[in-house]
Amino acid sequence: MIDPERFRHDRSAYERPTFPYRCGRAALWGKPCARGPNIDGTCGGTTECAPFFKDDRYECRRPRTAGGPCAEGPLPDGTCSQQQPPCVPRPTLRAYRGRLTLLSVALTVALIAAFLGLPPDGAGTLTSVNPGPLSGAHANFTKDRGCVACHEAHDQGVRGWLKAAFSADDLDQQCVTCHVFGGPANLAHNATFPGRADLAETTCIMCHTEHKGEDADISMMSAAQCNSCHKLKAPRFASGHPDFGPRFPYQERTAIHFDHTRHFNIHFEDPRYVDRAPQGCVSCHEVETAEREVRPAGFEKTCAACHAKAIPRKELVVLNLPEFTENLIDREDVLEACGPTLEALDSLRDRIAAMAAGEAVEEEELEDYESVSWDSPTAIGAYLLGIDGDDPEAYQQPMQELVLAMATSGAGPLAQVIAERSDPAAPNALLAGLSPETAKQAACAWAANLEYEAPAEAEFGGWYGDGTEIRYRPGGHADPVVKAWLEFAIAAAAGAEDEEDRSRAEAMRNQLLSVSDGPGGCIKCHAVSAPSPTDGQNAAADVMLNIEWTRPGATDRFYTRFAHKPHITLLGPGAGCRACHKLDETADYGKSFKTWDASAFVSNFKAIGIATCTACHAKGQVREDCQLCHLYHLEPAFKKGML
Amino acid sequence: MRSRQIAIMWIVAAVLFAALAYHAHEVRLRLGNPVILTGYLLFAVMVGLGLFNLRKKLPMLPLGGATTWLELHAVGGVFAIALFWLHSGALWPNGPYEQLLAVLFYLVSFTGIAGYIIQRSYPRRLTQTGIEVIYERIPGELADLRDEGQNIVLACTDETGSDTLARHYTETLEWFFRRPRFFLNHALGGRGSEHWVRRNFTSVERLLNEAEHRHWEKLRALAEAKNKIDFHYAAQSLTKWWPLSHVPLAAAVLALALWHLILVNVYAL
Repeated sequence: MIDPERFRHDRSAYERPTFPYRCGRAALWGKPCARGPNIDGTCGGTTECAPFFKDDRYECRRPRTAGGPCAEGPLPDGTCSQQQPPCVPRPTLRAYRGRLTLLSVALTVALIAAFLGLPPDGAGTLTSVNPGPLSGAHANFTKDRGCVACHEAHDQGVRGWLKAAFSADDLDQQCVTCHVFGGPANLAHNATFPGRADLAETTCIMCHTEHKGEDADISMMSAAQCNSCHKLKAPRFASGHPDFGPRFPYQERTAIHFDHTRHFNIHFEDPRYVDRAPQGCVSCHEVETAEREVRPAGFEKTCAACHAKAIPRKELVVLNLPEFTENLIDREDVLEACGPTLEALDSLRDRIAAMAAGEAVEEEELEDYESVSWDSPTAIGAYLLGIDGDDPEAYQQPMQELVLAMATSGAGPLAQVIAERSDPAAPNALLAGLSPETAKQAACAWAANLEYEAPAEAEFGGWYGDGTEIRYRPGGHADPVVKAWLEFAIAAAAGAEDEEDRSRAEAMRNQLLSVSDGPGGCIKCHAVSAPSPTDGQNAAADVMLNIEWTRPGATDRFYTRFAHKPHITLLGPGAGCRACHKLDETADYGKSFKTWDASAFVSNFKAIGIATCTACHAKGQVREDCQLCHLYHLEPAFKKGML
Repeated sequence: MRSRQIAIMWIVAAVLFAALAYHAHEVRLRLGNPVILTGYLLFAVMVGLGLFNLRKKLPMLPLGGATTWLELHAVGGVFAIALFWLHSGALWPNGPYEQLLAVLFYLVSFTGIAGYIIQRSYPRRLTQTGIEVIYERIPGELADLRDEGQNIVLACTDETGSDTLARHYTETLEWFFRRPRFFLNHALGGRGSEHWVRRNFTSVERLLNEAEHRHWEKLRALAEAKNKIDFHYAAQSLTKWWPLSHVPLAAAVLALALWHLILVNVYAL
């Protein structure tokens, strides 16, 4: 023990802890024998030594540590005389450790193998190839096909596994079997950005890591990840995010010329209209369907109460009888087409009576021609016939030919003229509802140099002849005939063939698009815009203008989203709107509609600054992560087969 | 091994991990997948830690001292724990297989840390006993003490004709000398064994005459010596037993990790 001499080589046995067995006597806290167990686990200590045969005799070889050679010596047959009962050797700690290690590895392999072959449901969810539950949506659609829905190698056996292990796996191919985007799936934001050819291709699993649990949000990204690509870094919304701009979110002119300031401050305060005035924002804007926008309800709900009666008053004059210097229409032709007029019948009756009375009947003298109309042709008529409306000498022939043709065939010749200037189907929309008889009767009167006297006025809207004009009275809002004429006029100006034609088409277009005199008063409210902001009022006449009949959606704002609904829910539908949308009473809103440039817009409302949002969307308050307002993908959707 | 060298090892490991964590963060920000790098590195570290066991089987090769290997193993083990968290991104993974892997990894880590503490703390306390005992010889040493004790008692009876000490030995002390006692108390650094010896020798001391007292003193010296051997037994047992859990668990973790690596290559890369 303490005495170091005890460990001398001749006094101390050499311990071999790496041997697989140790003495069974020592295991029972007895004195271990000097010889120890055999390598095969049997007792090696049944004798104290193994006598050695030398020079014709056996010598005792008991080690000195065990007392040295014994007095009795070996027996004659060479066996040791010092016999003792055998022990049962025990494994050493090292042996136990080795066995436990083998056992644990074997158990592990067995466990893996056992669960690998089980089906995905039940105990199979414990399989080693299941790295965790899928998110809810993916779990549903993979229910039938299982792992192979995304991992092709799953059911391809050992060969497939080997192939998959040594080749790149393209999970994206499985993703795009269901998901579609507005651009290539493997480009950042599904789009190509000018000057950013350095951007590497992307893969779905860069951002979307599955098997994070049913409730995992597999599309969540940190602001730092967005900042890693974007040059403009915004660590947080409240600090670093660029301001929205001086006109946000009112960059584009509204489709409807509705001056909130004038309506709220003047018209709705007017005692004549106060009973029809809305009670607040939500009287016109439909909060029930609010998403990105809180769209106003239609004309009937919001405008009609005050403005509906004004529409029919703005009539469309398509054709008129202009002033002629001479009558080029043969009376016989008119008589043949229209029959005698009442005046002619009266004159004829008088002459017959005179003849019957034996009175002398003089030949009727032709009076000097004096045009019943002093007007110029309408802009529409001038354009359709390609005539100079200021020169009766020039226009009277084609115009009178048209009148005579209409007197003969009704509205057909007019439709034919329109078709020649547009397309064969155009008259269907432009002259919808025009009675051939109305056209014929009016033309007959004009051919006879008379004003047409309509049997009745078109009280409820529609076509009618009135004196020297064929007019159309709009039936109400969204009248299709008026709409067709406005678009016809725009198309005519854009497609004019020569300078004179363009001049006449522009005159027609400008007359129909007149805010004050245009038919139906459409342009008083509906904005007219040029295709690009640079095409202002003075742009070339061949610009194809656009009348904003409907309010454009907000889908053109890529990568951003905003939902009004939660804001309305939180702030309340009434005064809550004004928390963000504040009227700018000094803004000259109406000026924006005096031009066709939609980008030159001054809103009724003050621009919304970032401070308005950060009042709530800040650290410790409401969410402020990038994805709350920004979309990574361009127009993400599902393929039809998925729906 | 000098403490300065050990400190350098820890510092290098810490710096390496910090660099790796920063790199992984940067890769993640660039929408890359750092788990591939951290996963392969973790597996390599685990294999490297396993080589320590192999090194012990090849003492003849000039592969550096066992102390150096132990320190490297300890530093590498802690590095592996940190790397495991960096790789999995969480303390607790989602999949049942990964959870099993995590459980075993944590158990290996726990047994490793516990073993390291044992390896670092018990040798100092063993030295403080003032004796040296080879673990495998403890049964023989105890047998020697037991024989010696019985001889003392027999000599006492022969010499004094009194069986007081003999009966006390048979009824009480024989239990103590039969095998190592107070294992847990010794392992936890308690002194229950010393109190037991003092109490049981003091209780009989007043009943002995002068001649018996001389034998009593010899017997008590033997008991105090056995106390020290018992402590050696407890301490050395712990230093030898903890690998019984650590090594098999580590082997299981390596097997699971290897399969995990194969699956990742088949399914996700």
